Amino acid sequence: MRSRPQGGQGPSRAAGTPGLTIRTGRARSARPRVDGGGGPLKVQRPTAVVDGVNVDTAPVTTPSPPPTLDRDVLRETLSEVVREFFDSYSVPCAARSLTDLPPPAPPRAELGSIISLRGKSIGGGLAFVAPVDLIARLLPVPRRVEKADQQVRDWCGEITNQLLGRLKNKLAAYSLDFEVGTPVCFFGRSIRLVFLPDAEGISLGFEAASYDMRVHLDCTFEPAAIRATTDPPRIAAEGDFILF
Amino acid sequence: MAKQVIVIDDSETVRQQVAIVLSGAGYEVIEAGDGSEGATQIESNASASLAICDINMPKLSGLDLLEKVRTQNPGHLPFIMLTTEGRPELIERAVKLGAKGWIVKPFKSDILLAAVRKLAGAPA
Repeated sequence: MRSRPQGGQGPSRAAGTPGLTIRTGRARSARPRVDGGGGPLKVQRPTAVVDGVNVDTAPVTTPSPPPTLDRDVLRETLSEVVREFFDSYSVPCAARSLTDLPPPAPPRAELGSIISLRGKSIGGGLAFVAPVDLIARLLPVPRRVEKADQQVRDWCGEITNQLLGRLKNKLAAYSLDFEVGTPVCFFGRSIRLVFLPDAEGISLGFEAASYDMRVHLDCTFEPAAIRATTDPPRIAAEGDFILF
Repeated sequence: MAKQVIVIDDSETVRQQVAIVLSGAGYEVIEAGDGSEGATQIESNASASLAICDINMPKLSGLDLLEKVRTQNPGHLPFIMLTTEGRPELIERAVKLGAKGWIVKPFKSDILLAAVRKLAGAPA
């Protein structure tokens, strides 16, 4: 067993997310399989080298999550998710107070996407809103002039999907699981989302590549009922590859 | 003739991302926008060498599609699940249903290609 070096190569891993990492990278030499240790993941161990690419496992040393999930923890976790997502696309991203992000003048074209989440102890939705130009800039494929609008709409939905996937994986540390819906996208000018009066939503502002964007999580859960588990599941992290 | 890979994902951008990588390597890519369309494409392309499949999709989820394919055609067509999900219980279900690989989005091109080469063989 080995501890994964902090800040090493391979896909970034969510801090505080315990579990198995299948680290991937160019093979320098064939390495033996490494047992990732105990835990509920019962899949067959990954092959060590696939076509010149290492696929090995290493137990991850991560700090224990806070004992209970409250709004502050959820807020910080969501913020971390957004920063990590943009980092994975090599786009610098910094948290900004929403009050520091006044509506632009003149109003600009924005896209948003919402995905529902539903589980035994949690329910709600995650929304991502950003300028069309930022979403277009993040597009990982060449622009198709004939499908430009459709492309950015689709990518906006996929960004939200990947953000929610990361959040879901991080919240596994609290034995919290939920089903993820499919994205619904909307277009507007300087969109501002407003929660219902009795909702306890979380709204976060960020700046990425000189654009501001917002992430909104509107969810209900019972904080006291959601505690960090002593035996957290081992979650495959973003970029990981498991070969059965 | 180039080997066929069926890419099933409700995001056109993700399908395009995968298609760029695989077409560039010489594979023929067939796209499907949801699980139901994926089932149709799998049925229509019996000689396909591999399916790369998202999990959370409209109409039919990736794992339900895999189950359907395995029920109708045990041992047929290797599947790689390409998803944002990383939870062990889902991975275990995929293993039980006979999936051959699991990649957590966002993927790296070289990793994806290595996985495809391993499971589908050389492109032609």
